[in-house]
Amino acid sequence: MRKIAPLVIILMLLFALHTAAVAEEAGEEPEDYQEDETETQESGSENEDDTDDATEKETRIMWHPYGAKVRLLQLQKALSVNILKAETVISVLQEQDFDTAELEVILDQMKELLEEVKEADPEAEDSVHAFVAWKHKAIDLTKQFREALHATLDEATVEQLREVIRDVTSDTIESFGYKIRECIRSYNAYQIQRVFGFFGTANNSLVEGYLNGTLSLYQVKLQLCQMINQMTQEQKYSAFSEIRESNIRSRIRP
Amino acid sequence: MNKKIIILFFLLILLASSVVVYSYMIQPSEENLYTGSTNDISDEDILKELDELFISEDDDIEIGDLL
Repeated sequence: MRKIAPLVIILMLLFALHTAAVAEEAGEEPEDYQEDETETQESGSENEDDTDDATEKETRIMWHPYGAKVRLLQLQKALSVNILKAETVISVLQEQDFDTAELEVILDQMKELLEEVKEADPEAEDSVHAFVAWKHKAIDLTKQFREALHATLDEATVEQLREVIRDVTSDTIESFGYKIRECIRSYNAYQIQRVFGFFGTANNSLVEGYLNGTLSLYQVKLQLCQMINQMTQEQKYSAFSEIRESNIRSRIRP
Repeated sequence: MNKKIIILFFLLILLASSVVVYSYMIQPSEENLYTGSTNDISDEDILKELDELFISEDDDIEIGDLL
């Protein structure tokens, strides 16, 4: 019996090894998928302290000056909207003899922040970090304004003010919308050219069609998808890998 | 007793051989790896990657409501 015992143990060990090999095979994913997930997780944990998920996604396009310009313009627009609404709220409250001193201080800080964002250089090396800091400051000031308002007014008055500011807009805000769309189109046009670079070809008609508005972004994506599907297996694999690699890089870049 | 040891010894060899052969068989050849990857690329995968590559034209950022 003593002689058999080690053999039984070895048999059990080998059986366990065999089971592990089978289990690994069953749960196996393609190597590149695993790498992607690891990279995403790493980048996520690095940025966790500084930015929330939404901000982290927003900064992914800031590697390119057009992308950085889009985000800075969007922040300017969001701040401009809140400044305009804050001015309207303060004006209404002043008419009703409310003390608006605290709100005015917050409004001044918002205006200072807007000026700072306006002067930002989208091509600066620290534009991503600056954007994250400014966005968090904008969120914080908005929260301060909201809390100060809720501390002094009852819910009925707040609701009335909500109605007053609901559709507040201005030419400046409209023009921001136009500028942002132009920048987004320029960024996307650059990306279309990059995709054709991955394909090893050029197709100016698709870029021109998108820029002059005859093709929507969705139509462009469908056409690119069709082109990839018409490729040989090797070309398809190569093109898809290049696009994925580009996306992974933009996730880990900041 | 000796007979039992011999049987167990053969079983051991058999299992060890099956582990080695199985491990060798699950190693994908370069060709299989390549074919498998391309077959797995669906339209959905391509569009998902393309979505991430571009910015939606109605994309915006949120800093919160004032009220």
